[in-house]
Amino acid sequence: MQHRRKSSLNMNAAAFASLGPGQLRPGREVDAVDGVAPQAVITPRSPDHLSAALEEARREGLGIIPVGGATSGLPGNIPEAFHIRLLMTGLATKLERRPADMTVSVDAGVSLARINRALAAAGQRLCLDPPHPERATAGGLVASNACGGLRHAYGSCRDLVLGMAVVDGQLRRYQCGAEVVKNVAGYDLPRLFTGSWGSLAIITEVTFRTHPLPEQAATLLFEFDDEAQLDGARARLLSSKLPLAAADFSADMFAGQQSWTMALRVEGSEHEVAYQAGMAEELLGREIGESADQWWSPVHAEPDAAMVLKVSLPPACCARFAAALASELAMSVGELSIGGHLGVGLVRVSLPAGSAGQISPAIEACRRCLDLVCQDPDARAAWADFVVEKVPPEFKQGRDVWGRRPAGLSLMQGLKQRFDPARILSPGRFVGGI
Amino acid sequence: MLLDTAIKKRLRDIVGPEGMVEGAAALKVYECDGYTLEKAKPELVLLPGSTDEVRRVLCELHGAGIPFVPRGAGTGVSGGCLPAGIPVMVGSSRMRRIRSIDLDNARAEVEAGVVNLEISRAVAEHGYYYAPDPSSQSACTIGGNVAENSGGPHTLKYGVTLNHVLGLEMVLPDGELLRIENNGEQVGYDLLGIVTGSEGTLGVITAAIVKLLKKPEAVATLLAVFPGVLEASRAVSDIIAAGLLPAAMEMMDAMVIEAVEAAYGFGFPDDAGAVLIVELDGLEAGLDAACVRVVQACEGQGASEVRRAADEEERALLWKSRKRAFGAMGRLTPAYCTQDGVVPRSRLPEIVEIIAEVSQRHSLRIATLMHAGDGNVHPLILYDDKDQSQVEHVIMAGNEILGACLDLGGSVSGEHGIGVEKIALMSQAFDQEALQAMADLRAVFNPSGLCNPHKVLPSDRSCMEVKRPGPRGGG
Amino acid sequence: MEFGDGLELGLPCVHCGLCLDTCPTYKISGSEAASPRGRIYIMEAIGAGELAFDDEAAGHLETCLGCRACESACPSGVDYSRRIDEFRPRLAASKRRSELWRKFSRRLHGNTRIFDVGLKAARVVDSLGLRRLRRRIPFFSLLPGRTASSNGVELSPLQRSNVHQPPYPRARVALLRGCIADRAMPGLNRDAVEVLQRNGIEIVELHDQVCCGALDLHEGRRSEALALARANVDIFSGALQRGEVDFVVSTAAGCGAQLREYGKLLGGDSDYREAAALLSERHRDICELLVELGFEKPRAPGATAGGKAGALAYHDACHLLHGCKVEAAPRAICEAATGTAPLDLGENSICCGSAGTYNLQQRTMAGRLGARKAELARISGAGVIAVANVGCMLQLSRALDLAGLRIEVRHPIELLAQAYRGSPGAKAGPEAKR
Repeated sequence: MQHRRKSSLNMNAAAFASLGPGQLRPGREVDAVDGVAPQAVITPRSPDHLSAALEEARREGLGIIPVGGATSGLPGNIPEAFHIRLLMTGLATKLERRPADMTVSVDAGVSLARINRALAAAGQRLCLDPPHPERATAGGLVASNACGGLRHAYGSCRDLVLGMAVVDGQLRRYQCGAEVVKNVAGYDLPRLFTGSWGSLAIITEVTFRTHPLPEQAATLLFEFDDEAQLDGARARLLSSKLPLAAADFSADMFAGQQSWTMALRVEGSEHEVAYQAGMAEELLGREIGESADQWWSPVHAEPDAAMVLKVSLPPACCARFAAALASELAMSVGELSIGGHLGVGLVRVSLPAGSAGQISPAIEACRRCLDLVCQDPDARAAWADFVVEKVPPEFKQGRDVWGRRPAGLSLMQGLKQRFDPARILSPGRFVGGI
Repeated sequence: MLLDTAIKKRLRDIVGPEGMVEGAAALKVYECDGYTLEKAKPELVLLPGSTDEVRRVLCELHGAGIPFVPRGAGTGVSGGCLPAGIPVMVGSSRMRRIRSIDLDNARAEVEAGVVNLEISRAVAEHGYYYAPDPSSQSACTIGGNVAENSGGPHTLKYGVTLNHVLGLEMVLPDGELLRIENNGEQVGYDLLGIVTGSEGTLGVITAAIVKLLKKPEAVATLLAVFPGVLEASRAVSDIIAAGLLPAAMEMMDAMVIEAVEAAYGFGFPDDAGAVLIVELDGLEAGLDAACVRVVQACEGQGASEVRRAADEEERALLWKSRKRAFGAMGRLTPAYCTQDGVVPRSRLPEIVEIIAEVSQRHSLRIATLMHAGDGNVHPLILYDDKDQSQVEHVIMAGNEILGACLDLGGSVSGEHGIGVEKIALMSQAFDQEALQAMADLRAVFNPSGLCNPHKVLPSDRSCMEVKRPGPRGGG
Repeated sequence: MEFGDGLELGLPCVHCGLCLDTCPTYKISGSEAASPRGRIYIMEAIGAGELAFDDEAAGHLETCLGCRACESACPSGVDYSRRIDEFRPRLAASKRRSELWRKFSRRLHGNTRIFDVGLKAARVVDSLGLRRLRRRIPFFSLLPGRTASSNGVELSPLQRSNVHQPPYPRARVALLRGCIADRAMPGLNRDAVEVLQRNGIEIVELHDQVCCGALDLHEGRRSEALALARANVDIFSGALQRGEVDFVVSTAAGCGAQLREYGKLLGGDSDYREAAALLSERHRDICELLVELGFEKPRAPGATAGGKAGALAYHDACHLLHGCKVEAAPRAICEAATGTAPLDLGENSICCGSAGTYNLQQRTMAGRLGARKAELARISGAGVIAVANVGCMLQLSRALDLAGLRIEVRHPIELLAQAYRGSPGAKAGPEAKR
């Protein structure tokens, strides 16, 4: 779909006149996404500012990419147009916790760490634990449907978002969902916008459900000789009555050697944590220790990784996939990180900084191994696929980083057409060039 | 509209004679679901036996421009499958296969007509279950559950249908088959999330892939007896404030207690003003400690008695009493209308007082059931369906209560859906812009508007042929 | 009209739908017109003049098995069977019943010659190896043939019993013999007498007892049904009132459930109301009575159970489970007889398709229900199925034969009697409960 777009943005446009000092500055090289630098960085301080910027964008056919803490690394295809980097961290006033209702409403730019500090004071928390909580913003988390290990027990953003306020590509401003934990009134627009990567609407405010803060938590580490052992442990664990908060694994490869580790997070009262540790040992054998960092998770890639792939597959295929990939790449790649959420079936594969030369073979190997592991008719996993979360822009040419064409792509294109007809929001970045 | 014989023949060729319901008496049965205030008879009910039959039926209807409405077991209570102005109904009752159970990945694929409880039964021997447990779970279908995003008592801890569906097979209104399956990581927009709770207006669900959970190691079910609903709702707040997350917290007021006592004879005290059922589950270790805290919270709010179900049998009877409370109301009244409002948990005492006031003002008896932990209240407005003037008051009273829920920061539906019943409240609940956005969303899936028209959104509520209000069941 | 004089039809149906999935005909057909809620709706609409009582409407009502599973499920306590029984005369009068059927059904209980002739013919046909063929012929198909249970002794059971009346009886009971049971399975009543006597229960023979009237009521011949009910009340309640017997016992659940309805059935008859209620109250199913009074556990259980290898499965007869609410007692009898708890066949609350004369009239539906049971039986791996009602025994035997399964069908009392015979003359008194 081709749209008439202006090549440059008029920073003196009337629409921007309301922006105060520090809210509008020229774009720089560091603001680039996939090698494309924006002309301006706008930091709205209110939904009105935001609407003004969107209005101008629509009139002039500009491309906007909304950004929170950018902790996701802004995955996506090469932007079709990128004029404004919309920095949402300026919208960070509201933080309304309602412990008795077990909900919290925040402006999109409020960081996860700030939310959880406020909730902790009332004995609660938002059960999301992606990396870099100090920088990750509520809006960014929701737009990217972020999660960490706690997803095992509490789900991802999708499961925790109750309502939100948005400005969509048609410049409509509205509240959707609700501020209560249960609501089925009307179509579930919050679900539409969660994980839409800023391609339909800009989230300005979010309401989450909260959970009680456990008295104690521990991350227990277990080591295994090979994938069969790890997978056996997974099967025993997940069919047991152990109510884990998180069950992550890593299968890092270094210099041809693979190490298999499992990290289990258990939570509860002191007694309950000890009891669960006992149960886990009984199921898995002796633990090698506890992580000093309660939030340690092997799933998230180093910030400077050269390549990150996010693989979705059935839990029972995780270990076999990791082993197959490592053995396929053993000769060509020196160092490879593989980590995943075992209960969910989500694995991240990453190559360290400086291994750009190995990106293409790694991606191809990942595709082959996934097919190999999941083609087994018993696996019933025709849906398994991966997203290329991070690669240098030159690797994105001619490729959809989101993976295979998803079922219902024409519906998705229809939604884009309805909610952002002028294609001003992250144009071209999402799946199928949406 | 009248269906011509040619199209009827083509449809019969697809579903076979067993899949065609067209006699006057049989069609009469389909004129309402659990919501009986409005009625409309379909011209034809089709009961396809497979996804492919559904696909061919929808292609045929799409080609002929004939509106249709999907139906599960007809246990809905907001009129979501009312065929007003809709000639054809497409039921899932002949699609009842459990296609596969994959315990290693804790998921099962079932056809839309499989009854909720059947899934749990099928995996029970391995210690698994399907968590969402609407009160009608012994009869309602999984297709209907997904369409309504059904809840149930245990949503407090375990979430609603949305949180337990990993895939869907559906036929879009134009007859195109769509299969979505993942592990919660949808690539692209969350179509699964959008379709869940769309009340059968975006297409016909033919199968769902659901998450299976392992049964908890230990369960404790407590019953606390309070002098009144206010005290019980304050106890709910105190339990939350104590940092506990029970699996369920259910409240029944005196009138509901009377009905279920008549039905099941659980042995609730005669003088109970309200009872609170609190279920805790999880580890054996720590369960007793949590129970003690619940008991303290209840006694702190004046509970006259708190007892723990002695065994599985007593627990089952307690839940049976609770889950069948809706139906048991027949022991007190010829008819009732169920409301489904939500308020922030902390506002429960306020909505309780408002309900009492509305009840008095309209001279209607209102019994109240609550998923108290979720702030989800079900006022059951009792009335005589032969008394026309009372019916008007029932509708007004219901709207007033739901309006109050909105004013308190809540919602007009926690789990029953908008259907036809609450359409008028939608513009109170949402801005015009939000309603427009919802209409946009629907237009993407259902551009022809043939799939379950006149539901959910207020603009649609025209050109309908309904009897309203009418006597229920003609009796 | 005598029936239901001055009484309302009981509690209202609130249209909740919880009965739907308990209804065998709904489960099979998927049509809500074949569900309890649907049938009530149709009856109410006919009553209100909104719907014509035509062949179609009558057809939906006629497919009702009368199994009363819906009553067990109904939270509102709707007296479904009473509502549909109200309609039976109108159904009987409708043109759908052929004159031939009416004559035939009228003679089913009155004229035992139908059975005697049929039974003899069935044995001859079976001895020619044509049993599977016979199983396809209406009525004829249901009769037990050569391999029918027990041993075809056709003399009146009470006189030929080789166990004598207990000298110091713990209770005295009258046995409702049941017209069909008495002819089709005479061994059953003989076994019943033997078991009761062995447990110190004296049998008082009441000679003039008549058919319970269930078939007539089912066929809509209410006045005949009421006449039979009155005759039985005269005989049994008379004996109860005079203190000659303590209980009235039946082996056939269908007859037993009918006796329990007498109180309601004659509730409008001031002359009979109390006596009928007394009979309803003092009726016991034989299994129920034995468990209530305590019974002797065979010393050598299992060895003779069913006489064949393969586990025992118990299936609930609808009239026992839903009509009499007796669930645990027959299982306890089975367990005592075989030494192990019986398997569940699955779908225990779903009718096998027997349902009085249903399997003679609604042959297609009855056949499908029977086939469904046969499939469950196959899956269960059972070698013997115990069921405590003659009609169900006949229906299941046919269904299993048609499915080519060599599974025996027995009454729990037959199993117990057989186990007693295998146990060397236990003289130790039964473990009386009171």
